[in-house]
This record gives sequence, C-alpha cells and structure tokens, in this order.
Amino acid sequence: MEKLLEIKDLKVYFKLKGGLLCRGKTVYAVDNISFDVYKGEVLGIVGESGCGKSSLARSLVGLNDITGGRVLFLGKDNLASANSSRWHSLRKDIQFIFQDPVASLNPRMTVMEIIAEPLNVYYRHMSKEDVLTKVLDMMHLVGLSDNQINRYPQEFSGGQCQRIGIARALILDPHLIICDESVSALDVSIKAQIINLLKDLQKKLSLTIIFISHDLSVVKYICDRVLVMYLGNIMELATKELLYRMHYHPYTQALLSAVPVANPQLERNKKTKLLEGDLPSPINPPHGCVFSTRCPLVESRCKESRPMLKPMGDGSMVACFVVNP
Amino acid sequence: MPILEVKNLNVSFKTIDGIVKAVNDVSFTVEQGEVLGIVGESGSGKSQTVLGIMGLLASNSIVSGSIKFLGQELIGVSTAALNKVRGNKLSIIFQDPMTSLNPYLTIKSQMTEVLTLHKGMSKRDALAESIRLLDFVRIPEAKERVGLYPHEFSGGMRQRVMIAMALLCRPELLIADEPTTALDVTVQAQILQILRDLQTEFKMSVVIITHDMGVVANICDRVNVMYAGRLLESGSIDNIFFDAKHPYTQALLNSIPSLDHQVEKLITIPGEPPNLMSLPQGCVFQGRCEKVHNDCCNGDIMVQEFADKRFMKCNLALGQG
Repeated sequence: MEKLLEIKDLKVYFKLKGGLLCRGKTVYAVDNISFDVYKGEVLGIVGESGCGKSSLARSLVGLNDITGGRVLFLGKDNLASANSSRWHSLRKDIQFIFQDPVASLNPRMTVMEIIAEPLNVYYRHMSKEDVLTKVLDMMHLVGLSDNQINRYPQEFSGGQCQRIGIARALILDPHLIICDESVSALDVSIKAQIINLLKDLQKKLSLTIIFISHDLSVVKYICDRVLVMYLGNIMELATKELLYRMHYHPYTQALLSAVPVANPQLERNKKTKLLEGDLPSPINPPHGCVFSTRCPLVESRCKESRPMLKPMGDGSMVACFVVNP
Repeated sequence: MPILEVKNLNVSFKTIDGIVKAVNDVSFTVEQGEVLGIVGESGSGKSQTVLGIMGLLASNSIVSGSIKFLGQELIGVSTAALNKVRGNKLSIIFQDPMTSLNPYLTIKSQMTEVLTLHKGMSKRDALAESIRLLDFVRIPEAKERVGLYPHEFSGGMRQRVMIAMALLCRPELLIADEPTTALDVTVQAQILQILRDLQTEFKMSVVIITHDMGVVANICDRVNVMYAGRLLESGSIDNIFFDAKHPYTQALLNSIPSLDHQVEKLITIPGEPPNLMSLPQGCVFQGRCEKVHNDCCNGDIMVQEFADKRFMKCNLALGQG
C-alpha cells in the first residue's frame, strides 16, 4: 500500500512562558513517535486527555510547530521544515474537521460562503457558476438541502453544523482528512448520523482519514488501524481487529476494560482493570516508560529506559519490555 | 415507602421568545438503596428534573406538580426549609468539579463548613470527618491534601472531593448530574467504582444522570429514558437493555456503537429532537418514530404499565412493535 504520510521521530514540544516558576520548562506533548499512514485507510488515534493526540494532529496541518523529526507527505515534502507559503499549498491537500461544529464556523458567513471559501482561496479564477455547482454538489453529498445555502450557522443544529464542516473540508478533494474529536460534542442519535456519513463518504471517495477520538467504541466502528497514545508516546499500534482482540499493552488493556459497555450482563461479570492515580505531568514525564508509574506489570527496567515499538509477530506493534510475542 | 416521589412534575421557563417546556408531566419514584439512572440527549429535561428536585432552577422557571422527599413536599417551600434538607439528607454532585468548588477556599474550609452548619460539629471533629471521607474516596495522603486549593487537584481528584463533600452528612439520596462526563475513561472507571462502593457501604439511594448507556449498564438498577421533556420509558436495566418496548429506547440503543459487537452500519434515528418551544400535539417522538400512526399526533398518549414498576408512554399496542 502506498504511504501517504511517513512520520519519523516526531516531536512536538511547547516551551512555557510566563511566571518565574514556569520559565524554561517544556511540555513534551508528542515525544519521538513514528508511524505511517497509508492511502485510503482510516487510522484511529486514541488516548485520554493530555496524551498528545490533538497536538499531533494539529502539527500535521501546521497549527503547531514541529519541534523535531521528519514528516514526509507523499514521500517527498517534509512538513517539519515547511515554511508558511509551503503550508499554504499543503493545506489544500490536508484538511481538518474540528470538534466543536458551531465554534468552527464563522457566524457571519452563510453556508455558501463557508463551503466556498476554500475554493476562493485556492482556485481564484473559478467562475461563480462552477463554485455554486461544486458547493451544491458538496451539500448534497453531506445531506444538506439546496434551500439551506443562504442560511447562517446559528440557524443549524450541532449535527447540521458538523455536516457543513465536513463539506468545507471535502470541497478541495484533499488527500488527507484529520478529524479531531469530530463527533464527540454531538448527542447519541446525531452522532450516529455523522459517523455513518463519514464512513459512507470514506468508502465513496476512498478518503484517507486520521480519526482522533477518546471514544474507543466509535474508533472501533470507523477505523481500520488504531494507534494508542499515552503521555506523548505510542503504546500500541495494530489493526482494529487485533487491537480489540489481543490488546497486548497493559495500558490498552486498562483503557479497554474501563469503557462501560451498554450491556448490563457483560458489565456485571466484567473485571475492570482499574488504574491507580492520575496521568503524570507532560512537563515532567517519567524517566523510563511513560506508563511505568501506573502500570500493573512494572519492572525495574521499565523505570530506567523507554521501550521502543516492537513487532509482536502478528502485525501488532507494542512499546513494552514486559509483554513479549 | 419510596425515598423520593415525583408526581406530574412540570418545569417551564419564561423567555423572551416564548415558553420553553423543559419537563412535562414526569412521575417516578426512587426506593431506598436503589440506583436510578436518567438517560436522555441534550434538551431531554434530565438535568432540569433534578434541579427541580434540588430547588435549584433558574429564576424564570415555572414549576408545578409534586416532589416528596422522605414524605416532605419540596415544591413551594421556603429556601430556609430547603436548606435544611439540601446538603444534609439530599446531596448533589455536578458534572464539572472545577466550577462547583470555590477556587478561593481550601478543600478543608469548604468541607468543614458543611458539617459545622448542618451537624453543629466542632471544627476539629469536622476536619477529622472530612479527612475520613477523603480517605474513603481514595485521595492519597488525605491528611496533607485537605489543606490544598481546588486547582491543585486533577479533574478526577476534584470529582472525588465533590463526592466526599456530598457525603459528609450521610445523605439518604445522592443526585449525580453527569458525574463522569468530563472525565477520561480510566478515571471514570475509578469514580464509578467509588460510587458503587459508597452505595453499598452507606445504603443510600442514588439518582445518576447520564447520556452514556454504558454508565447506566455499569451502575444502575433501574433507568428512566427521557426525550424532549417527557419520561418515555422506565424499567429495570435488564428490561430496558434486553427488551426495550418504546420505539425511542429501541432506536437509541441501536444507534450506539459498542465495544462488544461489531455492526456494519449504525441504525440511526432520522431528524432531530423537536423544539421545546413548539412541541407537537400528542407524542413528542412522532416526527422521528418509524412506527408512528394517526393516534400519535393528537390527544393524550397512553401510559402502559407492566410488572416491576415498568411503564412506557406510547400509543403503540404491544405486539404491534
């Protein structure tokens, strides 16, 4: 399969400014992670708040600076060294769908203006008729009707606004779509509609999607491969089937067992692997394995050095000293 | 006798645009030692129902009906009388622990205040009791941490502090309004475990509001399903999850992606919930219901009752479904 993105040793750090106590400190949001994204796949990135999944996503569209490492887009462009004019042309191919559907739309623009804006930026000479045709096509594709074209975002519900956001992201035919918690803010019945829409569009247009979510059930439903992050590091990377069946890494196990399932019988018989304590601060991450402070299987070597991702033989990649093939 | 008896509760709000009917004719009971879940999507009236119970509704609200807590009517009583019950026999924890704790006061002063006020305890006893409860909700080094400010705790820790605070007076009924929604799954699992332990230890009743069917399956005994201000179905969790009768409950359960099985396509509910300012005549779910027929669009909707305090509001005759 063709690689769309090759990410090698990506680092995203934030230097803290401000008060005396913070000066000189660094937040290690994404620390040395490597993975590939293949054309036409949906890659899920899961993890809890503060694990760096959003920093990672934002760095792939230039919303955060990349501190170090290499990100090859279509085998050639290194996003880590792209300047602002290069980013301008790159963003035509990499589009973002945000979490808050209402806040991500300009309240003073009509649906037409919102969805057409990317065209106006990248295809300035496109005729008005062509723009209108494209916008209407896109609106039909995401399930909006013609008569909504001159309305403003506040006239729409959250689910409808997210449809507008999706139309805006798709209108340039991007190579890669990044969905950052794109369905988290929606209600159950509306969420299901948007998830189905994304899945249909992905099939129909063979989109490549990086789907970021904290909701493991949604990821299971929509993704092909899943990457589990914890405190800026990759814990496990596997196909969906393997991840949900094998879950080798102790963190993946804890994460999966913590999700309450909508089935009282299963819940009654379930043994939740409770994690002790809280996520350590990304300003001062543990020296060895980042999960070592909460890991039930922790050994002394885990506190000394950081495990690399290693293959488990079945295609899964796991960063753990203790778990072996 | 039930701990809490809500009868024909109506809550509406006067706004510039008109009357918003947030809760419509809701009746249910909570028994001693029972965990009742209230599920629904945003705008279903689940939070307004419990705010009504706590007497915490906004000033533009109009409330009618009856709420009896331990036999005492709560609607229409003075704030002073309510204050004797609230925080004492009846406690609430909110979704966002940061905004419900006072950032200017230490945990110590916020917790001991409850006990000196309601129980007339000395400061020293109150502090000892506060530490005991912080220990119970598994705050490490509670003795040292009790002197800290809310911002010095993580989100999960803060929610534990809130739970400890709500339990100080050994309430008969604890109301938890989306207690784990703002938390990560692993922290949510910890909090649910604590709530379960507390419930067995103190034998109190709990009303838990959530939009997460997983949380309901995990912790509740019975569940109320609300939609657009109405209580559409109520029953034990086994009844609701494995034998839902109301079309809305069925559709809701079908539209959740789940970890325990893989489906090719989620079954969605078409359309959106109705506007609470212009609710349709008849059933509130008619616009999205696939079993809708003429009877649903006018007049009263039948309440069908079954064994085990199970009921649903739907004109659909059973067997037709």
